[in-house]
Formats: sequence, structure tokens, C-alpha cells
Amino acid sequence: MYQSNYHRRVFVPKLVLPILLFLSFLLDGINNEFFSSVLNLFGFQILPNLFLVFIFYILRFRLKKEFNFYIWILIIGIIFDLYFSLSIGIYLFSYLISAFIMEFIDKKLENKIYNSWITAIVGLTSFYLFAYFGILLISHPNQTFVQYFIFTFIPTILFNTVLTYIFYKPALAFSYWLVP
Amino acid sequence: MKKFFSGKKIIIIFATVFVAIGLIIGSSFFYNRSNSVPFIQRFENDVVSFFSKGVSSPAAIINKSTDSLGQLFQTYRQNQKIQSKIDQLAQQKIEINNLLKENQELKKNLELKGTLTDYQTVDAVVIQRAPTFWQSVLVINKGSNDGVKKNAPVMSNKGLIGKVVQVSNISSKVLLISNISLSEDRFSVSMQAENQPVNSDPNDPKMVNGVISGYDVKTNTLYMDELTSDESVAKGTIVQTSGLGGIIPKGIYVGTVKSVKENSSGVAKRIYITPSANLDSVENVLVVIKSGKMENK
Repeated sequence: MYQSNYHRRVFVPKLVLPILLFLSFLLDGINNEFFSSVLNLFGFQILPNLFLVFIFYILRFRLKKEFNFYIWILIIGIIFDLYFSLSIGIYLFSYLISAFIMEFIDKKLENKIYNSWITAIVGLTSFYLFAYFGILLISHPNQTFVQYFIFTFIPTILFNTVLTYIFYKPALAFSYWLVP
Repeated sequence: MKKFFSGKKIIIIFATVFVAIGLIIGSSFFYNRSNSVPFIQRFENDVVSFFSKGVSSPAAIINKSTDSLGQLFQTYRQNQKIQSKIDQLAQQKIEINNLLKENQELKKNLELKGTLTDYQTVDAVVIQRAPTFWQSVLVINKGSNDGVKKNAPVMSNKGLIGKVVQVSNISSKVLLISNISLSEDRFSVSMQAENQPVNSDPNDPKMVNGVISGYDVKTNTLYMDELTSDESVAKGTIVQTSGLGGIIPKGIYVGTVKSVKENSSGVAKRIYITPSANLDSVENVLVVIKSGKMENK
């Protein structure tokens, strides 16, 4: 009995967390396609980023140590680039750096709920800033930085922060189930 | 803070920055020049597309259900209109057959190649839209197995939306016309100059030719530069692909002229175009590919 609980405790997170990361990657592209008319209203461009939201939950609920966290971000980051992008590295490094920053901040801040929003917002902000500067290396974005900031950056950060807030409690409950 | 920025960490940070910049620039350079996708990426794209189709099915059902509900309210009114149009279709079909036959004979006589009637279309469904602001990339469910090739133009039911930029076995990436920034990716388009008789020959000096060189997200407007004619252009003029360059066929509907920005002498400098297709909402597309007959020529 003790041994089977131990195996469940060790192997289930190792299996479930990478699958969920992969699913959140798929859902980002699917949501962006099927709900594009809602996400692109009045000239605003909202980009769902469930993958980063999920990374935030993993760090926040201390699930990182349950599996090879950075290795999986690296793998799915490369898949992101290969599948969606026309270059390699923008997603990969933006996700790695924002995960690192979120982890760093989360450790430094006091363990309170409102501090977790700071972590999420800083993580999202760093991702979209790194991605913007990454794209400047290879292409001219069809938005100036000011346009990008107003019409894409702010609504995207708000949308994903609200998403993080909505799913916070269910994700916390799920983390307790996953790692009892 | 002093401890965090130790010598070793600074070296790691610098090395990471160099690797990141090198990888991004190098891979972008490679993809711009390569006609095919490496085997590993082709395999990865096919595997992800396979899973993506499975995961997107419930979302597609939800999306279709909400669409269906909205469409139900319009059905009765549309049905009446359609009934009257059906009666005209039989006659039009006969006329089209005659025109096609006549067109083929005339093209044969003029030795004309590369117009839209020499191409076939492949139906495809959009399965993913890249969640990025920098490249408006759609992933469609057709690839090289269905005859899709790099640079093939892609249309929605309302007109041109972009071109194929990467092809895997069972999926392809489509770069939207709103996001074409590299000079080799730009579309050649043409339109009728104001007060000129109807003519579609792009080599005619009375036609205004140019390239789609950018897109304004805020106003949903494409802009056309590198104009080859000083002729004035009227607002509302139809814009279509010119076929110049030989890759994109002539005659694909792009949109209509919204406005013309002129310099002090009144010579057109930049033409603003309202795209015919809604680029924010594309579900089904047609990929234009050369017919077997064209390939053999």
C-alpha cells in the first residue's frame, strides 16, 4: 500500500504535468483560431497564453520539483517555434526567461495571494517584451511599439491575468490531488 | 544583489543572449531561403497536427453550434433570396460552359498561360492560428500529400488571404497578407486606372501595378507601394493579383481601394486597400495550385 502510494506520488505528476503543458500549447493555437473574432474586437488583439498561465501555476503551487520542469519548457518551446513560427528561438527563449523570472520573483515575494498576481503579471510582461524585441531581430512588426503596447500588450496581459485568476482555485485543488 | 550577478552568472547570461540571437537570426535566414522543411520538423509538424485535429474537434463543434444558432435567424430571409437565384443558375451554367470553351480556344490562339483558369484549388480547414502578434500564421489541414506547395496563394470565399510558407505532409503554414514584410513575400497587384476602359492586362500602361507592402492593424487596411503608373485611381476600384512574377496567378480578388495618398504634384504614391476577406476570422480556405496540365508545360 505504502509502495503503491509512493509510485503514484512520483510517477503521476511526471506523466500528467508534461501532458498538460503540451495540451495548453495546443489549446493556445486552437483558441486563437476558433475564438479569433472575439479576441480581435475593435482593433485590439488579445493573445491567449494558457501555456504561460500553466507555467505560473506550476511555479506557484511548487510543482516544479515533481518533474523536469525546464527540460519540458525547452522541448515545448522548440515545438512552439517549429509549429507556429518561421524562426527558432523567440518562443523558446521568451518562455524560458519568463519562467526563470517568475520563479525568481515568487521566491523573493512573501507567500500571499496578491503577490502571486504580481508574479503572473511580471511573467506575462517579460514574455511579451522579450518576444517583441526578439522579432525586431528578424522582421519589422506591422505595429509600432506604442500601437503594440496599447492594442496588443495591455489587453493580452489583462486577459491572461483574469484567466489566471479564474482558474486559480481549480488549479490549486488539482495540484493537491496531483501531489497529495 | 552582488551575489546574484556573480562572474559565472554574467558569463552564462551573455552566452545565452548570443546563442538566442544567433539561433533566431540564423533560423530565420534558413527558412527564408529554404524551399522545403527539414525532415525532423516535417515529422514534428505532422505529429502535432494529428493531435491538434483531435483536440480542436470539441472547439470546432462549439464554434459551429454558436454559428448555427446565429445563422438560423437569417435562414428564412436568405432562403427566399436563394430560391429566386436558383432559377437563374441553370441558364448561367450553360453560359459558363460556353465561355470556358471560348476562353480555352482564345488562350490557345494567343498562347496565354498562367491565368487563374489554369489553376486548381484544394479545400482546407484552418486548425490553428499562431498565438503571436508578430507573424499572423494559420495552420491548415492540407500538406504536400494533397499537392500543396510553398508560395501557393490561399483564398477565403471572399478573396486572397495569404500564401503558403511551409509545407509538411499533412499540414501547411499560411502567412497572412497582413503580415508579409519580406520583399520576396510581397504580392504583385493591379487595378484599373480612373476613367479607363475595362482591361485586365497588367502590362497595359493604363493599369496601375504595385506591390502589397504593409498592413495597418488599427484600420484593417493594406497598403500598396512601388506603383508603376502615374494614373489616378478611383475610390472603390477593385484590386486583384497581377500575375507578374509568375508565381501567383492573375485575377485573384484582393480588395477595393479605400483611399489614395498623393504627393503635392498629385501623383499617386501609396494606395490604401480594404481587404475583401476578414483576416481575423478564417475557417475554410482554398489553396491555389497549378493544375497537372500547367506543371507539364
